[in-house]
Amino acid sequence: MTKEMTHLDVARRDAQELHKKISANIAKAEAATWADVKAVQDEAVALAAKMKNIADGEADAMKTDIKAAIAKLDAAGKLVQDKAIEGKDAIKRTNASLLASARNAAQSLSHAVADMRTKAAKAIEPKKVSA
Amino acid sequence: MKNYIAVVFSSGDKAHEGLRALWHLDDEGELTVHGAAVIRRDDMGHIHVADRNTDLGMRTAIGVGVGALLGLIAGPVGVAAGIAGAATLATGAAVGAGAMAGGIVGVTADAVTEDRRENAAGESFFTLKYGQSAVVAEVSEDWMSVLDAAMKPLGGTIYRRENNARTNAAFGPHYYNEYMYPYYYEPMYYPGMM
Repeated sequence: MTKEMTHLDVARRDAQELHKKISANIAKAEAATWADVKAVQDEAVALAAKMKNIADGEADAMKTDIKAAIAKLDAAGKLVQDKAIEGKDAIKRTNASLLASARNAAQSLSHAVADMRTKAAKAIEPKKVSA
Repeated sequence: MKNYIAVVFSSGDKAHEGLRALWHLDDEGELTVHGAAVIRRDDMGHIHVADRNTDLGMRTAIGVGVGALLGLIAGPVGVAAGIAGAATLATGAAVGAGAMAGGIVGVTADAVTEDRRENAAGESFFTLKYGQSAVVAEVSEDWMSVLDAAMKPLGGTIYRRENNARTNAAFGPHYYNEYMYPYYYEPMYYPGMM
């Protein structure tokens, strides 16, 4: 119940912005280039690094979720670097993989944010008075 | 508590207001939205997902999730109805022939039996009548009264289903991901949606 931005909120916003950029790249369709892909891939790698720090401070269940999202971001990054298949199909596949990774990252972070908010809500919840 | 919600409105504009209000609650820390989208059932019975206005043509054949989610929110009968609903689901960018292509993907991906689909057909779209729109979302909420109070002035009717292992068992935990946006977006309406 606070508007103060935490490191979790910031990372979540980064993941949301990444998803928007990848969506915009996909919407370019045939006009999308490897330069577009590389730009978002760099942001995906940066987000993964930020999430690694966050995961360490989370409870075990949340840590597992976040680490799974990090693994997907890393895997999407490797798809760009490998680019065994050339051409527009490879760009489309890589963008689709990056989009799924960004969505996964945003959702795992939003669950972590929800967890944090629930803890804050419980802290201010009125206590029951026994008769 | 983690819930799937569908907030049904009389029009697309009202649903857009509902989506904005939902994300505003997230901004204020009153609840947390994990993903949300605006959908509409047109006068032909097709359900359309309103894409982000900058994503024209981004999506193809993603019919599997939304019908299943609507069915899930509707309850045990609706679970089956939702699957049947996917057969006539159209993505925002895919109207006409493309709409049916999306439906075919939905049905084959769900791999339901013919009997089950036939049984469900009469009760399809349990939560969404012709011409109505809805905000569908996955949320975490500590007090349900917060969302209730925000949607009531907009005329929204809220359906909830708890997001737990049992409710997810039929479809898997991430079936809805393809069409829900993890942030607020301006829904784009296509010809045939309004």
